[in-house]
Amino acid sequence: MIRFFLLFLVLQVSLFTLELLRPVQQAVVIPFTEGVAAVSVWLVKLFDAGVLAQGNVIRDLESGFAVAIEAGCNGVEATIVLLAAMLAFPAPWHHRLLGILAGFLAVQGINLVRIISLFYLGQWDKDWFEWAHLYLWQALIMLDVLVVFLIWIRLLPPAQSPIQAPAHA
Amino acid sequence: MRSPLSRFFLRVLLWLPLCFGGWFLFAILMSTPVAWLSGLALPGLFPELFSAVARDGYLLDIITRFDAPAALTQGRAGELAFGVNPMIYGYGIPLFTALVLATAEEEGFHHGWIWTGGMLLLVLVQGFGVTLEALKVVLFGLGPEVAARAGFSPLQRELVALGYQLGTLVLPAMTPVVLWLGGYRRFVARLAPSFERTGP
Repeated sequence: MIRFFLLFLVLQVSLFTLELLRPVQQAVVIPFTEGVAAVSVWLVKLFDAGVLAQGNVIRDLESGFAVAIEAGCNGVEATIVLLAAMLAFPAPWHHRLLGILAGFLAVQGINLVRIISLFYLGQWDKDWFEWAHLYLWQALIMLDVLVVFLIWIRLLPPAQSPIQAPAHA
Repeated sequence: MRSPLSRFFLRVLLWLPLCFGGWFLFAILMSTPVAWLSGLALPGLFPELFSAVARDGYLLDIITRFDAPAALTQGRAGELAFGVNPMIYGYGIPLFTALVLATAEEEGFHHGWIWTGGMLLLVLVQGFGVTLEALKVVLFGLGPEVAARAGFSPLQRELVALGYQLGTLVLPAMTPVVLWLGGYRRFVARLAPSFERTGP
């Protein structure tokens, strides 16, 4: 247990520090964040045509209201927490890779719901937007990470017991 | 028939609005230990930068040792101060409480010390967040003159930036989940039996 938590913390801090490095931001995080904005707008446009994506900003053309997807809003940190937990947990590598892929999709899926809900909440009421943005959705995203992690653990195959030497008569 | 895992998370989702409501209702009370902690940490560790931390409802006013610009004080002497919202670092409290209450529905509330210990750690996380935000504002938000007077080396500035990001984006979210996983290992192993392979 202690080994798992220590490994998790080391991986978490290392991956998070790596994420903050300028080259990683330029090559991965910023393009990814713009991709999240573009996918959010594509989804919104399925039922609302008056929306535009400009880089990491989503704008309502009629009201002018806009939200910028910044660090902490792109789901990268939540994905890193899940990634560190799955890497630290003793499991076969192909299960890890499947878990990381499914977990990434689950975290990003709920993050898109978060971005779109905040975009409309902000147009309705700024106070509720702030409340949901700063507190509620942060907790819900982490709950999502926990759910995915525990489902993944449930789906792991039973640990193999050590091969026993044949008994001699 | 729902699995124990989905039943558990349904309970968490039902507790969550109540815990968030209570947490925000008592926001002034909840920010008291954070104000006390950051009031100790900021003037105690950086006496040349900060003179005090004052309360303004649930918000905190960080009072620095730097003079406020004369244009703002209409010629009178005044110290530069800025506000910090400690609740930004505290949403782990309702999340952790909802996890504990949903666990207690099945296990009974006989592990009260886990909740108490968790709350203490979550308050420390809040104190850390407020302290690092205050340092970040002084080093990066009040202009080059104030930053230069703070006297931090480039490496120290980088460490403050990293600590601030860690204290904002990772610790408040991760801590309640880690506390719950660590505090209720046997219960977690009932929800997801392979969790036992992490050992005792």
